[in-house]
Amino acid sequence: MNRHRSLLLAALLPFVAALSGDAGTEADYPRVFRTFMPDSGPSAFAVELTPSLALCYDPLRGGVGEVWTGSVDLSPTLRAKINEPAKVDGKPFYVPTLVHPLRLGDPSAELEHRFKGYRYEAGAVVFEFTLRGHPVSETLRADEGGRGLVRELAFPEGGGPAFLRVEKPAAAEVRVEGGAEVEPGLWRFPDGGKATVRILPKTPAAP
Amino acid sequence: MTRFFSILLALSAVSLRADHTYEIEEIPLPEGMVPEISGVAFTPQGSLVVVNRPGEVWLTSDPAKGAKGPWRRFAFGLHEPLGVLALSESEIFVTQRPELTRLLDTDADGIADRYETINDDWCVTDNWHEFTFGLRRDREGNFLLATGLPDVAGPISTRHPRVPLSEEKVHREAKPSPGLYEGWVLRVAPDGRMTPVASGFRTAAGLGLSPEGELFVTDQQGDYIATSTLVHVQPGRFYGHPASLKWREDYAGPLDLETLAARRSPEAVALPHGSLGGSPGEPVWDTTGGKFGPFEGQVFIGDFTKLISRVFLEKVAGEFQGAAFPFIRDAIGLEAIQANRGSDNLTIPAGRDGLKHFRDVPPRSGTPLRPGNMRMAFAPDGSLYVGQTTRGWGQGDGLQRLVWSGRTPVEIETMQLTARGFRLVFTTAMDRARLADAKTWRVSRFRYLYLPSGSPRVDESPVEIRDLRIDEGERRVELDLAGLEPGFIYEVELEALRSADGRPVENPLAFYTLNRLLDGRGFTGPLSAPLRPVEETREGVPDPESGRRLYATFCATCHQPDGSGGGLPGAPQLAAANFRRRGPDGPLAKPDEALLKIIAEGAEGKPMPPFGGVLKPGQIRDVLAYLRAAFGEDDAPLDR
Repeated sequence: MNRHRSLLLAALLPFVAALSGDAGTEADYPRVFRTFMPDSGPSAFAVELTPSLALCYDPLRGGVGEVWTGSVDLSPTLRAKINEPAKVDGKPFYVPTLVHPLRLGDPSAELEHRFKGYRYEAGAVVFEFTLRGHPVSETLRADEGGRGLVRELAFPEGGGPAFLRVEKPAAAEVRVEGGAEVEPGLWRFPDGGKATVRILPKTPAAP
Repeated sequence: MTRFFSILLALSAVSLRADHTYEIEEIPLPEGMVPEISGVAFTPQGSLVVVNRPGEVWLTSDPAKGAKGPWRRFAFGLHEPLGVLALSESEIFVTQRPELTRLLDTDADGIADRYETINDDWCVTDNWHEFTFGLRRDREGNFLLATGLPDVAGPISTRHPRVPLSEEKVHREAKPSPGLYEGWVLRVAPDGRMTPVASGFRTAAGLGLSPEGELFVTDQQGDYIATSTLVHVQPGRFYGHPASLKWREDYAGPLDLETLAARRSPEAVALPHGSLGGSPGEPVWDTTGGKFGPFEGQVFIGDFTKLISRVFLEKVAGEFQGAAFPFIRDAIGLEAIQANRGSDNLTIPAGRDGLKHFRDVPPRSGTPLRPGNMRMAFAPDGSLYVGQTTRGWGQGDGLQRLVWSGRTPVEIETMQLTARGFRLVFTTAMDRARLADAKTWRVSRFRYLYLPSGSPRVDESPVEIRDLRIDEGERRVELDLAGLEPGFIYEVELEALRSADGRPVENPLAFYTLNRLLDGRGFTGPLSAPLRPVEETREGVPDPESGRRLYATFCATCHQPDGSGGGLPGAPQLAAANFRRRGPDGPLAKPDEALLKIIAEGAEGKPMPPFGGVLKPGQIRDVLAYLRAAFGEDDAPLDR
């Protein structure tokens, strides 16, 4: 690395730190960064719900991806001409393997999934998308203890029952409310209903 | 005593300023803002809005106060926004990599709380070179944006694309279009529906709308795009880079070069590589009503190099064409050009050719223009704000503005086509004796070819002036030229010319892109072959010293000055060849013919780009001669 590039990086470092390494205050959260995330489709989201709880939200994979205790390091995305994905800075406790686990009407039919944006609410971020043209929202917030993720899905009326495949990885406890488990791992929710999925790390997070 | 010197210094500064017809001012940015400015706009009420590469949107209602002004961060977390359009301080649109987004402040706290996806019908991968450019809005409220092509010098992920990717090649393109509508200009209606408008773009980094509502984009030099361009975008047309053609509904399979050439629409104005930069950004029209000087209605184009160009457009036989001129260029210094090590990304040959194509006009004092001039916007006060970002390609980021001093610059104001040549109008009365002196004028012409590798200048020749008529007032000159022919770029140089009051022409250089004559006749010769053989340099004998300078300019950034190659800056997984490596697998073990081909056309599947579009064949042989001389097998083994 030549001297000029070193100086440039040194000059930019405080700014990069402000974007990714600075924990900020509780009032600064949640915060959402659209960027390249590991093992995701292009242009996913890094979501920091609190200074110590973060996740990847990937519209192209179908929503919540990896969840971890920690934060996001965006600096690999901002360094140079050719960059690398953001880094998970912490300990993952939920790493889903399924793609598009949410369906409407028929649990086996993959529907056109279109991302519509997101908005900030007090202590939460709300992602919006459509399934076969029907609007669905997913509110993400930290649980009361600040260690786990709470997903609140709101389904449209007229779209038929909603089906969500829920994985239960070894490192996380996953609880589902608002529907019925119709087969192992497959939950059914009524037309126009709501679902709450709580994902908590099984082991206490490192301080 | 100290006060005396302070006053002296201030008077000197005033004196320096008085010499400039345009002053460059630094706009200090607020603490905490990353200065990689990638979008500049003004709200209808006059507030300045800037976006930066890390994805923030900042606002100030009083830009003149600089960093002390009432800046606030309106939004953050966007994915490399490269365009911004502000309807108000609470409703702002941006282009991000994957989508067009509306940012809304719904609770009136001054901060965006809704990030709405207006459209994402095109498809990106995570390749580093897949930019989404914009943003403009036409009279009907449609949004206009452009998508760039990825670069095989970096990985192209196939994970979870929004629609299936296509790896099919339309021709021999080095830059592919795997994602839907990559390499297109797109229109998004107010209701969010997207319509693909035109194809054939390589890196259409800047879009602009003329006062009459005509859409123009710039495209950047490289494969198939022999030199950077200003293109008048018309629905359904194809502008040269073949990769994007596969997304047309009528695409039926790969095409040959002849078919591509026949389908290609020419640019309105060519921006000759080196002389007028290398990577143009946003075109903006001077609609300031004279607040920015005597160029009302003309186009200003920032460039990645330390340059802002000016373009005069006219309609000839129903199509736009016109002339391009340098406007503001930083006085980087001829010595710096000679010693260019690539850090300024000038992408021009050092040495003799560098001097020819990169003059220091005008020599400037005061605040220098930075590189990375990709985004510009006129402020309500008539000053031109210039956003700069250089990440990975050079050094220098920030926000500057150009302010007209009120003093008329001595410039070629317009260059129009006539039946037998050109009509040049100057901004002020010129020295009649010099105008009438044939030695004042140097007129020449050249072409570029339509080739996968790009093209250097070909068919270069001086042009004889048959007649020269000067109107009363000494502002207007009619040049009659011998053999005025379409298909050429006509270059006019006027270094010895002076105004009637003795001032030199600030930018005594003009390039007119002559696509059509007044009667509508266009070029009918071969588009991909020269009319006469490319001249060999120095009687065909390769010159290692010329090669050394070229190596320093183009090759050393990746291959290192000592030839040791290694990981590319920012992408260590991609390695440039190590010329010091010996043995049968060493890069220089290949025969000359193979190495010349690699330099000209690039290395398939490797990060080595083609240089055939920048360097002439003789220059490529010079580079090889230097490689052999400096790192060749004749010496003792270096590294294994």
